[in-house]
Amino acid sequence: MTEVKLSKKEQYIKMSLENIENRTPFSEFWRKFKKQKLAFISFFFVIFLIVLSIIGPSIVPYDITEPDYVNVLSGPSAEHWAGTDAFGRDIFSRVIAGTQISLIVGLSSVLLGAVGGTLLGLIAGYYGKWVDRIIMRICDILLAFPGILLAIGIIAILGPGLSNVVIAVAIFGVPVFARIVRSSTLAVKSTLYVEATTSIGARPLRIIWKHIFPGTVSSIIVYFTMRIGSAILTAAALSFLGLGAQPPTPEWGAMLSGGRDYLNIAPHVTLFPGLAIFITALAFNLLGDGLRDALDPKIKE
Amino acid sequence: MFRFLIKRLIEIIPILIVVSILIFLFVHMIPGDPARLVAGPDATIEDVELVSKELGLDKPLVEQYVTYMGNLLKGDLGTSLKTNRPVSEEIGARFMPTFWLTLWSMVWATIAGLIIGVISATKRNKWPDYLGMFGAVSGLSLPAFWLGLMLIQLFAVTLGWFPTGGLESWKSYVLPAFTLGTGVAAVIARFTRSALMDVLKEDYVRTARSKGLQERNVIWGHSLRNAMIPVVTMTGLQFGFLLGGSVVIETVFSWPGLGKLLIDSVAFRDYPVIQAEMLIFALEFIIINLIVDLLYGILNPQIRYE
Amino acid sequence: MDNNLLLEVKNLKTHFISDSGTVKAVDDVSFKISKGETLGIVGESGSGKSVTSLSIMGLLKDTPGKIVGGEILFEGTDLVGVSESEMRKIRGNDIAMIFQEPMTSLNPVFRIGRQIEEAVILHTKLSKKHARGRAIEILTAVGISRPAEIIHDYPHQLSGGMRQRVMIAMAMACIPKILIADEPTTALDVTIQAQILDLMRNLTEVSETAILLITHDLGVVAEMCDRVVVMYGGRAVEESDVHSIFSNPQHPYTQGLLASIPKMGERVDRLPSIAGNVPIPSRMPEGCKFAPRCPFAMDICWEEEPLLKEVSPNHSSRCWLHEEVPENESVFVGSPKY
Repeated sequence: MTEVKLSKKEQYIKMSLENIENRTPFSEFWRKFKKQKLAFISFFFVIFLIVLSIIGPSIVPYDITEPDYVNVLSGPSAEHWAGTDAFGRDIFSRVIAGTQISLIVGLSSVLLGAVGGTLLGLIAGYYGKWVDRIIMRICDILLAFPGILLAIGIIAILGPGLSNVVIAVAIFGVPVFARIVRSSTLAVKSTLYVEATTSIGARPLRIIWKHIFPGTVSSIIVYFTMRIGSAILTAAALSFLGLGAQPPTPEWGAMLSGGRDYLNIAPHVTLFPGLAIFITALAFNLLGDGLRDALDPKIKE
Repeated sequence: MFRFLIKRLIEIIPILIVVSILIFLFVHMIPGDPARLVAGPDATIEDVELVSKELGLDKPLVEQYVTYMGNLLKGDLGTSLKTNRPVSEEIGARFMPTFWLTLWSMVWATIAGLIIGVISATKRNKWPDYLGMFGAVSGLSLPAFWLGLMLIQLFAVTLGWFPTGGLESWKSYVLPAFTLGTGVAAVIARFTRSALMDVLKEDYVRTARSKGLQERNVIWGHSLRNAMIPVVTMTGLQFGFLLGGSVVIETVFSWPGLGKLLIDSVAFRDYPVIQAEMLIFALEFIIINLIVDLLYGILNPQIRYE
Repeated sequence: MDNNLLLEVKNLKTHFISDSGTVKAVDDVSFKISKGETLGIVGESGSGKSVTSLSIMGLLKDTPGKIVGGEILFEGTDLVGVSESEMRKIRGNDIAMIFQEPMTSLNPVFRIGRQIEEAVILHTKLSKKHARGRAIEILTAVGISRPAEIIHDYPHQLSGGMRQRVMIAMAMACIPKILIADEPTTALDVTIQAQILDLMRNLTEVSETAILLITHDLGVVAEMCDRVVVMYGGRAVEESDVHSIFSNPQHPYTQGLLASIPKMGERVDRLPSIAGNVPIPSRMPEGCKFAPRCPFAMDICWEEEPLLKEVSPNHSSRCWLHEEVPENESVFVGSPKY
């Protein structure tokens, strides 16, 4: 009789206690996130893309800028999986190498926009009054203007180039993040614990950093991921219009633009870079949707 | 309702003035001397100064703005630096093609988006929902310019059903309108689904069912009417997206519209045209928002009866 | 007696099936309603009383709930197996329902008149004009003073009490045989509660409509009901006529509920209440569902669930205490020491 048999009553009490202990926010998130199969696959695909963007340029089979006039505009074959472009360059190698550019442009523009927007949103939400009114009015104007037109306008001033594309895309991400962070800040601010900290005389900066910022993190993560897809698309569109990356940079949008003239004789030149943009944007969008459903189902588009 | 409309129209005037000032300043921030562009690459410094005087570019900014606005009210938008034709002519010829293109894109995108959204919301977590929502997220992720090029390759080059570009007949509208509307249709589908799912949780939907109404009537009559209130607002905002998208799509399809004109003007720094285009885009956007507000009032009795 | 039998629910089991497990929202519940009778289902939120009513109406579609067993016999037909189109003919026509929240139960974008006429046109094949007449008539019957004007109003223009009258008008417009009322007065001011209950009683008396009244309020039960089913954790724990429930409650849960209402003319320092909460549905105890909160809980209560047993004619209760001393029911009477 070494084993003590629990009575049904003790089992019930034990079960009730266990269930209270076992639920951490992260395990809850992970449980919900794993159920979203597409988002789960996208998560690993995004990791794959990041790895590819780091090692890609050094593992590609062909030189990405050196012309090869023997193999101009040849279709997909065993040597050139995705064919060659008008200069005989291997499209597969250029698409792989272009991953780095698209990811850096996408991530850095959203990051810049998120940092700027988060700061403005925190300030507007925390200080309120006229500070809030001015910041939010500027955001309204920025938001009201169609994003790509704004970007074209900014590039008209700054001149074409990839770094200016990053700045242009970042600027119209600012009001989006400012709005979300502001509303989360207002919600967090009204909760009791912030009021309590204010009343014991904590400094504003400390309150923002220690108490308000953590409350907004989950919405920021969700929007951050969701914006990357559209940032990559916008950047590619600007390069396509000749306002971003310039040849011979293996940027996907610029490659597409270069293939336009050969559409009727060599459609593969436009097919593969476009496919790369599509799949990358799709992965980030699916991941963003999955994170939203798992982290904060209240968030709408 | 009529008074509401008048009030909103009067409110637009100060907004337009602020927007026109912003655009004016913005355009003048564009680097490069327009007088030099007009005078040509071989012009002497004297020539450039002469052109500058002719264009009024030597006067203070405030004066330039007042002159510009005065001419604007008379219908004079200035002269294109590139073609030397009046800007109003340049824009006038290109306004309608862009207008019809955005309108047809919006029409098909709204119809398709609503249908997909409603089906997804009602067949929640079944295969039509998965299919519809995967289609929608794909639509959001498609680079429109690439989709356009692929459609040209398939339907214009290979099959020869539609022209590859330009504006000749109604057939010319099919491919660009489809391309331009794809992203918007996706956004509307996703938004309609979530708005309708929210409405389907409401008590009054249960009441409608408890009366013995057909499910068709419960969805399309009772629920969609309520879901449309947020959907209309969001759809109006998508017009801005279409205006921006038209810039890219018009380049792909060599469309004789405002978007292509804008890109050409930015490349040439044809600032009277850029300025006029920005004003027109802003005005369009404001008018669309007004229409959205009116629709919102019509759909939502709580607003109408205040 | 049997000719008057309108609705018989037999061993109804409605379960909510999800990834995290099955919740037995309604488990083996049975009761009968005869013509013109008012049956009360009493219980706290989470007891399964609302799910029972949605099961009868066939309105579980938008919930994860599913009827997994039992029968719902309405005039001899089992509603569980009936097709959706057959069910639609019964819903709103033979069995109508009013809900707890008058503020949100009317569609905000349609005028009152249209919302009432809709059901009338659907079930009676009256013309639009005659349906309007019927709407005005029924609005008058529910005590709305300017019905011809009210039909042109939108819900947000009416007060909560007015809206609940409209809801009753809507439900009674086709003269149903059964009216299911799910907490019809809970959301209303106390002064209006009594008016609404009076109204329901008067309207149904004329048409001999039976009422299935779902409530947590024993005061409402005392005023309205002929018979009572007390539910706890998806189970019927006690069933009897309204007088025996109040004079001779058998189940410790019923005793607890009764002890927690204030009595006229009695001065107490503090009202007794039932300790603890309704258990989370997915973690119901294995034995008697009430055991964790029951002041009389014994070992057997945790091990095995008791059966619903008749303790006296037309009065059943589900408790192990009856098993122990089956002959002597007076043991618990008047001893709710909470």
